[in-house]
Amino acid sequence: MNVLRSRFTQAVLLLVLAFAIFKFGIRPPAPWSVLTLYMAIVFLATIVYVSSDSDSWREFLGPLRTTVMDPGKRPLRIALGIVIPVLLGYYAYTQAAAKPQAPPELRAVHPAPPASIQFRGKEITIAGVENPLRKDTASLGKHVAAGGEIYIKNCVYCHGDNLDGKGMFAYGFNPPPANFEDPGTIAMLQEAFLFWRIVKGGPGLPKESTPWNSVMPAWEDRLTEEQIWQVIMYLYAATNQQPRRWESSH
Amino acid sequence: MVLAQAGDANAGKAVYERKCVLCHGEKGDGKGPGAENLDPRPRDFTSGVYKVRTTVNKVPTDQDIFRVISKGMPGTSMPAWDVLPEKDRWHLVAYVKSFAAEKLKEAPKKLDLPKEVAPSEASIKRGKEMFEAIECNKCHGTEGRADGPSHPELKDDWSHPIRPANLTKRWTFRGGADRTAVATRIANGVLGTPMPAFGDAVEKPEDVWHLANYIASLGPESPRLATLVTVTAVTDAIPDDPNADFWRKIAPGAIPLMGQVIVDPRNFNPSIDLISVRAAWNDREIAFHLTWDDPTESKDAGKSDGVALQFPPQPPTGPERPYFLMGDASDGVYQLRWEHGRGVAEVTANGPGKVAPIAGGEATAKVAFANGQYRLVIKRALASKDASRPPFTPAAFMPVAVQAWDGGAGEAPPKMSLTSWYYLRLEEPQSSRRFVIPPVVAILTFAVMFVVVRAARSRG
Repeated sequence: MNVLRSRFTQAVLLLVLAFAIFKFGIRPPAPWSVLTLYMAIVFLATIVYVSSDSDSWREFLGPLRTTVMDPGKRPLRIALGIVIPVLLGYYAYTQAAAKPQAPPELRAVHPAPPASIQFRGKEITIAGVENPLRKDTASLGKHVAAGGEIYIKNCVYCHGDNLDGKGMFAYGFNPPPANFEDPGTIAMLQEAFLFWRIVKGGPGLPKESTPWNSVMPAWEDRLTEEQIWQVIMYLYAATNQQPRRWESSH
Repeated sequence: MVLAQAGDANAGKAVYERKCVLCHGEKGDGKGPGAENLDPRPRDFTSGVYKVRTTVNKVPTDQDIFRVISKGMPGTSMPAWDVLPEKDRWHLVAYVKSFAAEKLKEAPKKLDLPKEVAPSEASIKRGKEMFEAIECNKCHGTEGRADGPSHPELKDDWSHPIRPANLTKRWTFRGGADRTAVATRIANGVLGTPMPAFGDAVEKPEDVWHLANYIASLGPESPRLATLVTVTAVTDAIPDDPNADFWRKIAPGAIPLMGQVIVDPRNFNPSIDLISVRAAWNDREIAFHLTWDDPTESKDAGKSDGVALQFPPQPPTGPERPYFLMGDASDGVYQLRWEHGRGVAEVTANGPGKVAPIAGGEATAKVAFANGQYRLVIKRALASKDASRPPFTPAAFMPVAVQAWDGGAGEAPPKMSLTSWYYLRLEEPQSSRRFVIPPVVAILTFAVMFVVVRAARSRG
């Protein structure tokens, strides 16, 4: 008899295969809790499969029944009676002896921007606003150059010479400084969003971004409105990326 | 060894103008707009002087320049540019050399290091003798912490003050931390700095290896950075003496500190970059043992060295916590603030400069300074007397931040080094849980299996 035709072997193979796919096929690796959830679903599906009719179910239970009942399987029973308790005991030990880790910091990475902000007492609209300096097409290069100077004097310490968030102070802080080379940062944000984040920094983060661990300064204390729009232009120019546009309202 | 490739200076110019010009300047003179805040300064390529080289004359090889571009200058603002394609880096080598073509005309003459000596106790001992014989300690200090008697007067070739390398922090060595790099720096010096070539000054050529082995023995290749400050539970009294054997038995966690660049005066070049933290608690008190390097002991009022451990005034109930930079007007912080010569105080801060001592402070501190290193024990009662100071509870995660300043380097808060919030946790007293639970689980499992088999067989 082909061993692959046995319902029991099929069920075990299904579970092993599914585990291998979840564990090694998903990149980046899924956390253990997610794996457990997926495996529970696969396990239920397997039970449904092997119990689809009573013959199949009996066939599935066969190997289990002989292991428990067959007098000739006594050595196997003794072996399992030692191995399974030892494995579970070892698992309990790893759980009980685990060193505590610092709790994870969950936060909204790109919180929703406000409709408008106060910039040194002046109201500035954020929603729907484009970079005003881009209208002056003749001076684009000049603004980017000015932005570069502002960047190297202020931002480089954390965000890095290569704009990859690996400045000389970067590794001391959690959350780490934004990596502008990453397509998941400035490329998917409007320039006005950046303007808001630069003006208000860590102290101006909204409620959903607690625990407010960000060390990003509020740059309204140090830079002018124009300087901030210039440094934003530099960020896009230096990383060869385009800002996201506001969706036009119909 | 990377094989040298011929770079194209014109292609290098394009990369240079995109990636290097903001610090090194359009003319290559190291005077880009970013230069003013940097220490060490960006390299002036027009001088043709290169710190890190493997040659005996003043001309570096192309590989030497390529290596610095690719690996950066650790401990400075020069990052590793290995993110650039290799070809671009060779183009850059050709371009930066073109700023001083005249001065680099001579052919580089390779340094021949003597045969490598493997590290051993005897070699390290010989290295230590040489270290004193050729007076490395005059600048680098008796134990290598950059605190030698002449350290305050050192200037580079451009008359900028320069700090000797801290030999216990190999990861900040400009030319790399491996022993071959160290032996090379000893043999042919660091150009443009007060570090001379010792190749001929040592007794025997292989002494450069003994010295490198000795220096490698002074500290780890990289620090073991902590992600959590664990406070060890003890039943006995905790000693006040920072040099007590008790503290050596507790594993330290290294916490990196960065410059405070938010409020004026900003600190772009912080003096203190690392503090090793040990901590212990018993039923009455909690004690922190801090170790950090500072080349000068300063205790004069207004110029003193200091350190602060910062906590929220009460253990947080939600995810919110005060602003990491000493809190703000609405949410203050609690600090254990130690200043050399004045001791430790319990204070409340509502932002930099808004520091107020808490009445009835009971914290105590004891310090020891030797060979460019502070060791400090700060103690406080575990329980809190009032709402302005936090109690410390076992097994709870408590936010903690560290600040430090070096008065001798002109630092005073808020011109200091700091961290953002870390977590501190008082370890629970050693319980026997991990030895009791596993056997119970194993026995229960066996019992269930036994019952199932028995029941099934009796029915069958």
